[in-house]
Amino acid sequence: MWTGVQASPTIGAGQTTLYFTWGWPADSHVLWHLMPSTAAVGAPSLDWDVAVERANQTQCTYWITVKNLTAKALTFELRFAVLS
Amino acid sequence: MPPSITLARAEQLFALCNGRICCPCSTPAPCIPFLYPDNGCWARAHEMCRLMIADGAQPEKVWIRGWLAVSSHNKPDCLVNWAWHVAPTLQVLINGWPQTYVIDPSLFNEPVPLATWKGIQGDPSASLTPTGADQYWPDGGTDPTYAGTNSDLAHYRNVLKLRSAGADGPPPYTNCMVQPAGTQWFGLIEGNQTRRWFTWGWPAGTHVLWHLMPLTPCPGAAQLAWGVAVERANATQATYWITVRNLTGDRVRFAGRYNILP
Repeated sequence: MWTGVQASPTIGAGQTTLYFTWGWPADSHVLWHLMPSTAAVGAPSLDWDVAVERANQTQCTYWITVKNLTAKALTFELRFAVLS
Repeated sequence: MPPSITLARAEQLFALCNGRICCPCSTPAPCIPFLYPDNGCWARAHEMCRLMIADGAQPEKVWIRGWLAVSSHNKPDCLVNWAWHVAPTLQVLINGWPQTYVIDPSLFNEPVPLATWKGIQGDPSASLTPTGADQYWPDGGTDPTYAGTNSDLAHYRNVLKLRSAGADGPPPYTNCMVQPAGTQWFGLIEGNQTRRWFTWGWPAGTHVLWHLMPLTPCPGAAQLAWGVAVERANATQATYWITVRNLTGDRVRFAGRYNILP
């Protein structure tokens, strides 16, 4: 297994944003999750959902919907883990 | 002979052509029906040449004749038979020497040397005939306005769409595929449908993660989303319930995958 950070974007207060990342080998098992870089104590900051598109015979595109649950802008890491 | 290009440029041109792959259930023009390998190669080849020429390249074509038989998971019976076949070619510099590479997304996922392209087609005595990009049919004839190309592509888009809407469903056909490690099941979900699958007997002490991968290509938007729930079936075992949501109006074949974390 190996892990990485695909991007470190900022999302506005209360916003929902769709991110996509393309050209991933469809044979690989890739999981996505988020980690806020900005501290916000007392409640969850970010929620997310993952969807996937088969772009061609060998590649796929991941679509990650990110929701900022707080009333201030947040920077976060869009993280992946290639499991196999 | 046209000027040679790098392999990287050939890969770029392959991607340009393959990027036009048809979603098999909707086949919107001007997509190219690479997922219907049975027939129509001459129109696919001509359209690929048009795209590459418009991008500044100088493709040619190669025609093969013989008792051709190719394994394909994009045909329900897994085998394509042809008396002839055609694809675009490019001259690629390999170690300083020009080599003929073939651009054929109906057979390969990348540009391949001519010998590789011939070798997969099952007839060592098959004959190869190179021509210019302008030749449309194996025995001659051209289609400079692309009227024939457009008409033939429209026909084979419709044939692909009809097959995908019928009992066979969309490609790829999983009866032609080996189930890879980490794939628990192959599934088919109708357009805009939400369905739940379950898989039982998993050791409850093990950390298991689930995700999906569409097998049916359809570039442009997300196809599938999913959620996972779990049932503790007994003292030692768990059942996972995976809810699959098709975000498109098209049928999608997919793989249900798992990973066991250490």
